[in-house]
Amino acid sequence: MYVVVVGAGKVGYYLAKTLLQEGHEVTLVERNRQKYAKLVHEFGDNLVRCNGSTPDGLERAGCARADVVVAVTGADETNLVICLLARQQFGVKRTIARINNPKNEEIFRALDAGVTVSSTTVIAGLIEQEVAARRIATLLTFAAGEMTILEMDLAEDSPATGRTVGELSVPSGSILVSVVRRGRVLIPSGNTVLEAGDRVIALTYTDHQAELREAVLG
Amino acid sequence: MVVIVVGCGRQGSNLAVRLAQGGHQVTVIDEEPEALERLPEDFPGERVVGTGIDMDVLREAGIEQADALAAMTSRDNTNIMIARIAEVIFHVPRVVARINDPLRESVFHAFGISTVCPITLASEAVMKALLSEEAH
Repeated sequence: MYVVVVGAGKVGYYLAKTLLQEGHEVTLVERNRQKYAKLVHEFGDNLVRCNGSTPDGLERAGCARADVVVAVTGADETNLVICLLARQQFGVKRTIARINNPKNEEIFRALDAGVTVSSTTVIAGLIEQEVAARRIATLLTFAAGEMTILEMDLAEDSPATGRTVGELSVPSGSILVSVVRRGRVLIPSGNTVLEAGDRVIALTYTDHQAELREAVLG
Repeated sequence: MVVIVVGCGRQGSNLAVRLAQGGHQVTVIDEEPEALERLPEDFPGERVVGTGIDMDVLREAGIEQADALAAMTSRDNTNIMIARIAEVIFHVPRVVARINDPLRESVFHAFGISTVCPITLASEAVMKALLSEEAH
């Protein structure tokens, strides 16, 4: 894959290194002269000095043929401009932007600016899960964060324990996909009775996961 | 007209005062409370402290009723983001953004954003004055 990474701060630097090690073609873009000078020895032709938030800069970085453009400068608004330019001017299908302020996720979505990653959101989510008695874990999110697959461990006193799958008031937009019981994986039917110790795997709209958790774990 | 001005630096505050004098209903947004103090005591418009790229702040400033918005901060990418939010999310009929760096005009044009570049305007005006036929 050809990946353009804009912004050679810590995130951009380590990301570019990792991608290169994995055998991808990478162009790392940095506008700052000093940063460029420090890194050019290590990255050589893979490093380009230009402003990645301008059409010229993205052109120089070969953005038109990029499979993915990653915007990881320190400023959310700059990352937004990079992603919008890449998508709208250069037809890049996949862009990923780092955002510092979780509120900007909504803006990126409304402006069709691609996937966003907010470490604040990720870490806060992990903290919340820890606090929720460790019985729930997110396995995967996809569709730009809209969908989540998660696993929930049923306790003796969970509302779902002892009830059939059909009886559970699982919110619309969620499905129970499988149950892991004593090391074996079952695909449940409506009649499957859930037991304490079951690990239930569910697919849900990310927005509905709190409701789902309530219905299953209480 | 109901107008929102984002950015209360020398440029933004100057614009806000003129708009208010012209009888328009003005709300000025700036992250720094001190910047809003540039506005005169008797400024008839509203002041909102907050960042113009926050949809809640924009709503607080009345963007849903706004006829126009001017993005006047000192950072081009911020002005682009504000302009896009105003146009695409809130459908504000008239949006103008200030460009600080004339070399970045291409970026604004890429998004179809109406712009004014104070540097270009000032250079043109000074050149005109320098090269004018009249002796002073």
